[in-house]
Amino acid sequence: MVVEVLEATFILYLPKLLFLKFNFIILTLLVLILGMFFLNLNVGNAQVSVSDIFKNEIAHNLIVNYRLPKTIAAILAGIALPVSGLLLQELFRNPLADPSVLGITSASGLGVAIIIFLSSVLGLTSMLNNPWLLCLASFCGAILGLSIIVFFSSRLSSTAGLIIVGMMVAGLASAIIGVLQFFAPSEKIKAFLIWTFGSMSGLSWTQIGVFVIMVMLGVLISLFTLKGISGMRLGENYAHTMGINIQKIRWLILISSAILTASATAFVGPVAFIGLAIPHICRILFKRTEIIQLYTLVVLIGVFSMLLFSWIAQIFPNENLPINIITSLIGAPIVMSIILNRNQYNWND
Amino acid sequence: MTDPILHIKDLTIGYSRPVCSGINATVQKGELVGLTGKNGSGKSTLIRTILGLQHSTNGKIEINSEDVNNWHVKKRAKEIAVVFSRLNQVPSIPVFDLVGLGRLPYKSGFSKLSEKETETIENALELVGIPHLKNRFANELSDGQLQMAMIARALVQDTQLVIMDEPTSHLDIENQFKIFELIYKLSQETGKTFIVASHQIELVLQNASQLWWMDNGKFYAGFPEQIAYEQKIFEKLSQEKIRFDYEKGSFQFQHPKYKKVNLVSDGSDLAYWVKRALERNGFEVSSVGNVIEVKNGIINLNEKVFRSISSLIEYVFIFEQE
Repeated sequence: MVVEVLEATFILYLPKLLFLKFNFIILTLLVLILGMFFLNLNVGNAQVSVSDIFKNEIAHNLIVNYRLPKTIAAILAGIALPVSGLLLQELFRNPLADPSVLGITSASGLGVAIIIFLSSVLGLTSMLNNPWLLCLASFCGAILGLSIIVFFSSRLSSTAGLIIVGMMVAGLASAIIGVLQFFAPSEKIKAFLIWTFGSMSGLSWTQIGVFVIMVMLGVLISLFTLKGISGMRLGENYAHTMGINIQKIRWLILISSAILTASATAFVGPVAFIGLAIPHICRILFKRTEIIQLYTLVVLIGVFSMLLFSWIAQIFPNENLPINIITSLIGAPIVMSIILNRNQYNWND
Repeated sequence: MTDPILHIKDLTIGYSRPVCSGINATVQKGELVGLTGKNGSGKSTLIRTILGLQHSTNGKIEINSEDVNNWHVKKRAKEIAVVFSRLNQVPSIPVFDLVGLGRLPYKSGFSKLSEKETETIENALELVGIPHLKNRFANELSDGQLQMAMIARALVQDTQLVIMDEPTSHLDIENQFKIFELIYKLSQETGKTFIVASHQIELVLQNASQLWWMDNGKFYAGFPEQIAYEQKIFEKLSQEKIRFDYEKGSFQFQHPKYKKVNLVSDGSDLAYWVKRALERNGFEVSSVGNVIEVKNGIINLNEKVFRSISSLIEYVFIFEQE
């Protein structure tokens, strides 16, 4: 009798409870994100809160044209980088894959650097104000970096090999950036250096518009890869025999992760570790493996984390902390723990 | 006779250089085909060619009278399911989800598993004998359990043809037996057609209804014991494996025996293969029952002379029914 009751509980009701629990997690995260959203609008050097928005013109201007774009940029980066990281981890079957570890962020940064320095050489400073151009340059860099990685990944089967190639891509990109800096005027170097710290502030509504379009495009493309990704978890041969067009899926993953990385890099700067850490946090915290659930969680946790980091960056009096410092402080220990517990994932190597 | 499910015509397989040519075979629905041969004889190449992972250089493969060369990868996935020898990376997903992946060819985008599909998965787990493992993670299973889950996944894919490429090659002897026993049971119970490539010649011969033997660029298909006898399979395999002892025989499956026959043997290897064919087909060889005499390469039963083992078995079946 007792056994039957227990069986009924576990076999019939537990799956339903877990399902409810997933919806509950989603709901909780949405509430938390909403809270962080308003916290971000409230925080800043000026003592202005959201409630002041209708009271005076300056507060209105500050919130609508400065804090709101900044908050939206954090949300977009919080979608773009973690999704890109998740896609790359699944594609390479490698727990350490992520845009920054694989050097794609750096390659993307090279595109941005070329635009920043070229504009001064050509005397066309207006180039810098064109968000599309910046995005395109960033995308070209990202695709170039990814192509190199893919070219080598077919010859490397180990986790370490892939990461080393990624480091080489990053090294090569920063070497070329170094050459560019050597010949560039000093004020451009400063502009570039500030960009490398990563910042979500100072974006115009036009830039935000381009950012939104790029992230939506990247996310849309990535949605078409999810079925293929779940099949490719058994390896390419099995995926093929389950009717999955591997070449197509691989290209879609590359293009969408390049678009996502490139747009985040172009507008927010080379933010490190977010793409790597968020998918792992989701796997460890929620133990979800079904790709669609994992994807949803990665998006929500990504948005929440970036809003949280953006808020932390601003709560210190007088100065804003660069976002890259915070993400590295949190991301680096996670990378180390993954390397130490590699068997936990039972992936390559 | 009904149309064969699989028909291979004058197929040549290989990369730039042909590995094996002149492959001709016909497989009827519900058969269990054993494919064997030495290492490098082209077993895997043949399987990869049937799966469309590799192009043939000549000839044709037909499934249900359709040329598979023209098939889209999605169509193929609904007709042929496969089990490879092992997973390179075992995903950390629950067994239920792993088996559920077999439904991928029928899924579009985000559609969830329907109630009927969930039932299909539960049934497959039940049939394979691992319903208790469904909530365990795939990467926590033993190799044998994982392979059973992969077989369940192939069943869930709902295809007429299931191909297995060395399904037991990395398993211990107990699991090798378990997997072959399972394949035999599934071929009896599901009506699906199985093609199993394996080095485990003993297990293949005890279960297959048709044998494919690949040797030195040549391909032979037919009645298992007949091919084994004519091609001297044990002698050829003995070089690379343990020597086979005709006197002692070896591991035996206990297929249900329902009729007794009296085999008078002259101790030749033909007599040995006749005995095996009888046993595989459910006859118990004893000192009572109808007398089958094997002498000087000729088989005698009721004053009839049989030139091949298959004709004897066919006759015995008809004879015993009357």
